[in-house]
Amino acid sequence: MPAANSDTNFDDLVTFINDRNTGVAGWPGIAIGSTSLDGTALKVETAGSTTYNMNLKDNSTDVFNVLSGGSYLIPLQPGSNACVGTDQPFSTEATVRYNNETGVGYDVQSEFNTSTYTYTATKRGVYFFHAQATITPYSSSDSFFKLSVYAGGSVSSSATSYIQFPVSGVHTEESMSLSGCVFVQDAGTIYATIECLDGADSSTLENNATRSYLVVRKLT
Amino acid sequence: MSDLALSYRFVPRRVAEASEIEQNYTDIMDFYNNRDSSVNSSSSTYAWDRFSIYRSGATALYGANANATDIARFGCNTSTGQFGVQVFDGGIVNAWGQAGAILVPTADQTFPVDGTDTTISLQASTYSSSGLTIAPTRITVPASTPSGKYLITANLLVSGASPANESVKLSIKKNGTAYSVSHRYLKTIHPMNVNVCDIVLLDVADYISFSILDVTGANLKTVNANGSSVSIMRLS
Repeated sequence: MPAANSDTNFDDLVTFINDRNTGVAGWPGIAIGSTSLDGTALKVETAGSTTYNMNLKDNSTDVFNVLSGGSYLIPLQPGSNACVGTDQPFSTEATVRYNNETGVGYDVQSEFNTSTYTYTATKRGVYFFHAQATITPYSSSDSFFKLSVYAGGSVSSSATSYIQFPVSGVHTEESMSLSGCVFVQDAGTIYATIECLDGADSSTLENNATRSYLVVRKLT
Repeated sequence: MSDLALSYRFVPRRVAEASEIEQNYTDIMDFYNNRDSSVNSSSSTYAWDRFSIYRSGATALYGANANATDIARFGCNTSTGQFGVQVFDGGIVNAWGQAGAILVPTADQTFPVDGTDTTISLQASTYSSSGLTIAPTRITVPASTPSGKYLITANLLVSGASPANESVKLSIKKNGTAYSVSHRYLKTIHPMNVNVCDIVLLDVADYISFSILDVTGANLKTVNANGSSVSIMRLS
């Protein structure tokens, strides 16, 4: 091997190693498996026996896996699923008392507080929510209710709903629901309120996970 | 003199053969030269079958950390400093590069009583990524974006109805054709909401719009800008 050639190669290798953490000139990208970069910074193409295409861990805990075949898992992505655990009387606007977390495995970041009935986002982003309220009205006449979802301390523009009991004299429970997406900052809160629009009539928000609940899930 | 020192002193040092040094050097250079164009291990002895940070099993790309700031970052936008995907220490994932938008009506919008389907005029609100083209009456998938599934929600607050039976229909439209429709009775003087939610497969240049229609043709009604919003978020 010519000495000059060896020197050049050695310099290349030293640059490569020195740039391993900064990823500048020496690391335009990494290709893994049966592939080439084609301008892609990180490209993984595997076949057959590979357990994962990608497996990211925090210490020994899986946090982001891309499975062979393309599915991906984000087991610690924030979210919660809480319900009204005890019937809640209400008239004027009141925070919905989601005091029972029944969705096993949802609140992996421990962000929902069952004392304040509030979800607090660790990280900013867009969150999907679905709120359902099942109400038994106090009055047998037409009644109107308003379910609101607050995000970041303000009523979300997509989260106000009204229902009407359709026939006077019908005195049974009825459900109302809201779905939407909200953007909240770090430590931003999401919670719901319920209100009777017809004055001081005290109606009841029905308990249990199938009737009155709030689901939150981080999307971005 | 200790036993350890003696053993150090008298263990003969192995001197590598010149041919062995050259072979090792060739191996290293082959590994280095393959860093960007890894080929199948069956055709190259020193290809990158996997890349491991810390350690790996049968996984192609494996990263693990302890007490680092972030575990992984992908797709940094150097002008904004945002990352397309950022995996935080602790496991939360931000996907700022994912296409999506939360929008609200540009203004209160009255729609006719003659049954004409009226497209809602929208503008970006609290969130809007660069992955969608937003015009007042439609949200379009740009040409550079591969097809994917999008979560779409809409919640419009409608006022102007009377205690008589009146109703409206809210539609999510894909390329101008109704995809999901919600029919709502508004037997009240209170503003009432109508909402709809679905997941829609969108391809390049597909667009989504939202429209409202007065079914009963009674009182003139208005979509209230304050209290209404829609969202479109790419899921996969």
